[in-house]
Amino acid sequence: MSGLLTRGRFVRVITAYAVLSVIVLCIAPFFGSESLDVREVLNALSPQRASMDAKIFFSLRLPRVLLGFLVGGALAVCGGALQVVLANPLAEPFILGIAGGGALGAVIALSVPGFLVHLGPFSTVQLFSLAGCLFCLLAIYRFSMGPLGVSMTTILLAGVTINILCGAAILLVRYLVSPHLLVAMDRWMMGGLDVVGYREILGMLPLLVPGLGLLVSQAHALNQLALGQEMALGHGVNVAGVQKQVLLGTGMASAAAVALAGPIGFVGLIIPHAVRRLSGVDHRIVLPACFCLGGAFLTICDLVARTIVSPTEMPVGIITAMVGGPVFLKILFKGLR
Amino acid sequence: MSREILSVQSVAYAYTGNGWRLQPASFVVRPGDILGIIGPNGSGKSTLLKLAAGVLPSQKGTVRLLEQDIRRLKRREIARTLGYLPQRVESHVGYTVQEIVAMGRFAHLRGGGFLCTHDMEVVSRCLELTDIVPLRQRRLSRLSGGERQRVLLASVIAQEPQVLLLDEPTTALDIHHQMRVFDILVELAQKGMGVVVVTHDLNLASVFCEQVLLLQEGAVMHRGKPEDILTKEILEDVYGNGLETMIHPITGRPVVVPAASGRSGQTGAS
Repeated sequence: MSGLLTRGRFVRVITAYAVLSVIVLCIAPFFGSESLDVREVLNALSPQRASMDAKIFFSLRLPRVLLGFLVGGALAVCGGALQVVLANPLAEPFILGIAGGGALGAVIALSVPGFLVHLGPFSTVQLFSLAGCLFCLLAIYRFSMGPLGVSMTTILLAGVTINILCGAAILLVRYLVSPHLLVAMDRWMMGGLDVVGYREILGMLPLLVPGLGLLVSQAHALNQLALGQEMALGHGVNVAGVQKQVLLGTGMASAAAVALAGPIGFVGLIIPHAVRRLSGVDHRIVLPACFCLGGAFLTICDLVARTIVSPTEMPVGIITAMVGGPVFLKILFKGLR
Repeated sequence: MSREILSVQSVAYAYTGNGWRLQPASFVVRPGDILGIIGPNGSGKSTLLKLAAGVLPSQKGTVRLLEQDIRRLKRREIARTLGYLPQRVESHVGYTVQEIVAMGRFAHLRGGGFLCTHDMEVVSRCLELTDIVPLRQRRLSRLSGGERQRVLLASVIAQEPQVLLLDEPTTALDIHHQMRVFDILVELAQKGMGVVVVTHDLNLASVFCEQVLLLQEGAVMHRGKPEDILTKEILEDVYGNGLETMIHPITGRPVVVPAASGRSGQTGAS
């Protein structure tokens, strides 16, 4: 019987996405305001022959590319799972109000002159942003718990409301602070992947990996949930359990991403739809493929962001919208024909 | 007397907000039974079915599945014995027909959820049983209402349950497909499956169900064989005036028809 997901097809499709990811990850660090020589970089594998190109590659470009890949992948997986759980094709990670909380935390940290210090792998801005994300996640979860489990309608409304409240609080902070601090705030709100070294990336993993693990572990049940809660219950799915795990996983993964990279929009919305158009709607494929394609997409967007107006950089959020929009429309119309 | 597959005893439910409540209701399903639940709109048919399926937690009474309290069973365990088809199924994700039928195997799968040869055979059998083999590559969203109903029915049958609970499975179907669905249910019942079906079609209930449960305003008003329940007096008491019943000359079962002067005498049941 053709058309159903078999182990062989699963391996083939995911391998194809993984190969695409590896190609992007290998190529992207070589490009930027300064083009790097491949031989110089490879020579650095022997410690005596470290060159400037190798230092740029390993200290600046590679961590940035890895961060972009992880953030893009995480946002896309979160979007793919949320679109099913919330039964809303327009759902994306920031709909839960997490981005609003993260932005408010970051803006508060930036509003205090001299407060920008590093504590372990994170800066105070990232820590405050993370705290804001997690606070909003807990608040939304508490609001939406009803007698029969999590209410998806309440979650949507609570997420939108918390985003609005955080937006108002951000405006208040901006109104009160010294004008020269506004530039840093605006820059954070546009999203960016400018990290130096690997400490921040390692620091986000304890939140990111379990979060993504929770989401991927629910992929098979998500297929059932896409037919509605009652049908899923009838087929044997513990619907309340799946909803809780997806919300928790989404909260953890997107909080880790937002705390480091700011609110980068569009990835979590368009990549899941693109994957479904390209390789079917079975979420056992959709979620891992979202991670690969979302990661590759944000990596490429960041590559464009740091080369198009070289030697300066453009916020990557602008590129994700400008590149992602037309690509998504093309995939959409191709699927409709 | 054969064993009970499903035993619903004095289950009750009150919705918060609007104050509507289902009064304690009971029924039992044994292998081969076809039980019809009938009644006007808003009489509590779907609520009773959801309680029986464990989709809604009963606030009073007990539901026992193969003599085990349904509240102590995991959803997967329930789904291997009990199939439930809700009244409305919507999805914005474009699954194909065979993907949806294969989803019925969820409770039997482990690990990555890949289908084995037996699962594939079950899916093929269900596609054939419900006459949807030619549709198997089509997307659910591109099907007519009748085709959708048959696909969803096939998905529930693919669970290989011992009892089927169906909420208005013939809605939007033409008369031919309505009869085909009930023929399938009879076929399954003859193989030992218990069937509970909520329906608005009194004549289909009359022909195909051995027992009917008649609900009104959240309470079970009558239960028994169709020929005992589908009488002019009982139906007018529940649905209002304007109904006539007669005995079908071939089947010997009651037939319910609207009377010519029904509109003037209707009392406006919900």
